Amino acid sequence: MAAPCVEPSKGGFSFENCTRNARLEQMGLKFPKAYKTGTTIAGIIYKDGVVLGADTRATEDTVVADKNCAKIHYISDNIYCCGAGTAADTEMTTLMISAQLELHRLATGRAPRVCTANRLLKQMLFRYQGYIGAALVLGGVDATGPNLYSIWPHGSTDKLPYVTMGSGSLAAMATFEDRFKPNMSKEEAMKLVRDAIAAGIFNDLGSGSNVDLCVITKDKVEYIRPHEVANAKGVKQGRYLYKRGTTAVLSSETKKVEFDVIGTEVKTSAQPMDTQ
Amino acid sequence: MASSSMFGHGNTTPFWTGGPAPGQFYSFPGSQQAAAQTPAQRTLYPVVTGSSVLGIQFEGGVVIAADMLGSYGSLARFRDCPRLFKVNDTTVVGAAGDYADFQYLTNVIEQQVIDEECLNDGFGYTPKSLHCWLTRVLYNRRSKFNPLWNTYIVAGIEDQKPFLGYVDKIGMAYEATSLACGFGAYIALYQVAVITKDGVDIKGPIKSETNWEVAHMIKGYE
Amino acid sequence: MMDPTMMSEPLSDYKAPMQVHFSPYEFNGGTILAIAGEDYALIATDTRLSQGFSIHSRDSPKTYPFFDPVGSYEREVFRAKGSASAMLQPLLDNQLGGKNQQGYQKTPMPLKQCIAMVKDVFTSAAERDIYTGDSIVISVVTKDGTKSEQFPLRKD
Repeated sequence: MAAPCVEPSKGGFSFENCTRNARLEQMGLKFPKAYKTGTTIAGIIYKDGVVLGADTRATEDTVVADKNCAKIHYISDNIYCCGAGTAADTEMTTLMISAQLELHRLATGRAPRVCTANRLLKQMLFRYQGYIGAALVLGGVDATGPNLYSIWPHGSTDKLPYVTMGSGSLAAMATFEDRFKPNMSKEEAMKLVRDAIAAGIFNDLGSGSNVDLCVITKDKVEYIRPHEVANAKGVKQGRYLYKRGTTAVLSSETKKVEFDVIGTEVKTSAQPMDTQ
Repeated sequence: MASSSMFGHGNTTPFWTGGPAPGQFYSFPGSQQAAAQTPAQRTLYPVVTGSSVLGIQFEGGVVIAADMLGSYGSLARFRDCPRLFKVNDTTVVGAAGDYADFQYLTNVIEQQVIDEECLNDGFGYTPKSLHCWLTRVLYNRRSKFNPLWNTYIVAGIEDQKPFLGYVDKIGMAYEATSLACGFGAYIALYQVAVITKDGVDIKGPIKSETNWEVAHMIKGYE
Repeated sequence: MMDPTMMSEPLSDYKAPMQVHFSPYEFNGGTILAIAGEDYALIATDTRLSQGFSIHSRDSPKTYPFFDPVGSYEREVFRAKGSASAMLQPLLDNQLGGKNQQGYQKTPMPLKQCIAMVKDVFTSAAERDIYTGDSIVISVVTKDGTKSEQFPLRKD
C-alpha cells in the first residue's frame, strides 16, 4: 500500500509573476516589447469548404517590422488557422496544438476534427487567462463538413459562417455584412474574402501589404501566398551608387593562416570546366 | 461638491459650508491648505451620446446621414434623437458625441442665424463659413479645458459646389469628398439629408432593416 | 465668445487645482521635409491625416502658403520632422551632408535630382512608417515663384 501523501498539494496555476510584473511596470520598469501584429484576418464558409484570408503586415508600434509575414498557420492537413495579436504567441500556440493534433491523429487513425482543434486552443488560452495574446480564426473541413471558429485571447469562441479578427476586423466585417450569403461559389467566396482583407489593408493602419488566402475543401488545400500584391512598391526615381573607396577602411592587416593537409582528392567533372 | 455627505444621517450640519469645523481655523481660499481640499472637478465626459454621422458628396450635392439613437453608456436609452440640424437652405450640420452639447450649439447657431437675419444685409452662414467658425469655437473650448464633446460634420453647397467638412472636439478639421465619424468611421455603411441647389431635404426617420437569414446556421459556440 | 460663463471669471486666482479627464492633444501622424538648395528652397509633406489606427484623410497636405517667395538662408540646409523623420534624416545627412563618406566632395544638388531624392525618401518611409503614405506634395520656391507637384505613395 502506498503511504498517504502528507505534502499539501499545489493545485491550480500561479499568476503571482503576472501581478508582480504589472506592479514593476507601474513602478517604472521597462519591459521588452513583443511584436503585436496589427492585423486583418478573416474566414468564411462557402458551398464546398472554407476560405481563410490574412494581410501580411507585422508592426512594432508604428514601424512596419515585417512587410510580408505569413499569418495563416498550418494545424493539420485539413485545418488551418489565422493568427492576430502577439506574433510569437500565435506562432507557438498554433504550433503546439498542431503537434497535439498530429499525435491524436496517429493515435486514432482519423483525420482530426476542427471542433477538436477549437477545444484544445480555447482550453489552452483559458488556462493562461489572456496572457497568451492570440486571437485566432480557425477553419477547416472534416467528417462533419466545413467548420469555422473565431477564438479570443481569453479562451471564448464563436462558431459562425463568417468571422473576422484583428485591428482591421471592423473593416473586414463591414464587407462581410454587406455581401455575405450562404452557399457561395469558390470564386465568389475568394473574391469576398480578398475584398474583406483589402478593406483592412487600406483602412486600418495596423494592416497592410499583401493578401494571403487559404482555400480548404474536402480533399484539397490551396494555400495561396500571395493571392494579391495589394500595394505596389514605389519605383525609385534616383540612383544611389557610391564611388569605390567611399566606405572608410579604418585599418587592415594581412596574416598567413597555418594549415595541415589532411588528405587530397581528385574529382572529374562531367561538364567541361569553364576556364577564363 | 464634497459636502453631499454632510446631509447623511448621523452627521451634524457644520456651521457653514466650506467653513472650519469646531475648534479649527478658517482656511482662506488659495492658501496652502486649498490644495489638500477636494479638487474642483469638471465632468468632462459625454453622457447621452450619438455615434455615427456619414457624409458623401455627389455630382451636384451632398448627402449627410446620422442614426437616431441616443446612447446612455452602453444602454440604448433614447431612440428618437435627431442629430442633423438644418442651418439654412444650403447648410446642414451633423453631430456625434454628447447630445446636450449638440443641443447647446444648435441653440447658439439658431440665435446667430436670427441675428444675421435681422441685419438684413443678404449675408448668412455658408457651409465653409460655418465650418470655419466651428473650428474656432471648438479649438477655443478645448484650449480652456472645457470642450464641447462633439464631432461635427458640416455639409452643404457653396458656389454651386458641394462642401463637406469635419471638426472634432479639439478643433482638428479637414475637408473631404466623403466623411464618417463615430463607429461609422470603422464600418462606413437613420435620418438622411440631401442638399442640392434646390435646397435641403431631410428625410426620415428611416427604419433600418436587419438581416437574420443566416441566424439558423449558428448553433452554439463550439 | 458667445457663452457668458466663459468670460474671464473674478477671483480666478483663488481656485483649487482642477482635475480633468480630457486630453486636448491628439497625434495625427505625418512627415515633413525641407531642403535649401543653391537657387531653390523645397518643402515637402505627405498628405495622410490619421488618428490611432484609422485614416481621417488621404489628401490633407501640411504645407501652407506664407510670403511669396521666401528667401533662403543658410541656417539649416536640410531637415526632416514628423513621424518618419528618423527614417528620412539619415539619408539626407548622407546625400546632402556627405556624412559617412570617405573623400566626399560637396557639390550643390540640382533641383531635378533633389526632387527625385525627396520622392525616394518618402517612398521608402511609406514602406516602414504606418503614419506616412497616400501621397506627397512638394513645393519648390525659386526666384520665379512657387510651384507645387503631387506624387503618389502606397495607400496601405
